[in-house]
Amino acid sequence: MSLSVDYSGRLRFATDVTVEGHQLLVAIPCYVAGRAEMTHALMDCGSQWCVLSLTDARALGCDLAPDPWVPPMLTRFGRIHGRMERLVLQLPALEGYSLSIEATWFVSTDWPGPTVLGWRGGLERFRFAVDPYDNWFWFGEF
Amino acid sequence: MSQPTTTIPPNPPTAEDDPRLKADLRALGQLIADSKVEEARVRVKELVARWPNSERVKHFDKVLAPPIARTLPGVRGRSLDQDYAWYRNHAAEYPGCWLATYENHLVAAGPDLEQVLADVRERGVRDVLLQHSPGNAP
Repeated sequence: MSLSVDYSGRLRFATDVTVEGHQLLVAIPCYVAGRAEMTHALMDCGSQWCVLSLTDARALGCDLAPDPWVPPMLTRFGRIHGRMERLVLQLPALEGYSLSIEATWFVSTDWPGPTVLGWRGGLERFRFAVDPYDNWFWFGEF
Repeated sequence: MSQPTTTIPPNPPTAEDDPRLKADLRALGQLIADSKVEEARVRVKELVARWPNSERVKHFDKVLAPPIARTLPGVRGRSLDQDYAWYRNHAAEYPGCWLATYENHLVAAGPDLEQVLADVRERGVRDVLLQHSPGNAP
């Protein structure tokens, strides 16, 4: 049996990166919201939404006032209140082509954790694979 | 002679004030809270048709849309191996600081991210990698 899937790019992820006291087991280097600097996002398939760290949200000038119509998000730090924003994430390919993702982010002053590349609004609509043998993160459009 | 008086008409009610819209938004929020996002995506399209002037509905339509991935032909990143090596060897010298590196060079460092970003821009370096060093800044 042969199984093969095509991807358009790949980058090397980092492991055990610590950002502001939080350990990122799988840390994806990326550009958030068109910023010219790369940062790390925690790849977390179990996170309901992508979440911006408060530091990143402030640096990006996001509105931090909670939206009363957005229900709180349940996290490992408890329920957090906030708002949802649409911001572009770019995955820079070390080989192949980079990928831009128009993603939805939960932004909350209650969130003490790192920037998270979660399932809803992010990982759910592009093809990806994680190869822990040599830390490749493969990606491509559907 | 008396001053002419003008009557300012009250602001017309906006769509956002309509209790039927509020009920619709509460129902939409409940779908999100229950993690029924695919149902919420269908529902918000109905709300866009029903409340075409509502900014709140337009915002939900935008943020509930599935993410859109696009390949960027010709756009490449760079290897971060030297950045990580620099970090391993030097991060402890900058406790509690944000470190902006480009390959094996430190471009800017400090506890305030916004100041570090300003320093990076002033130096005209693009594609730096931002990392954070554990500990408390002096």
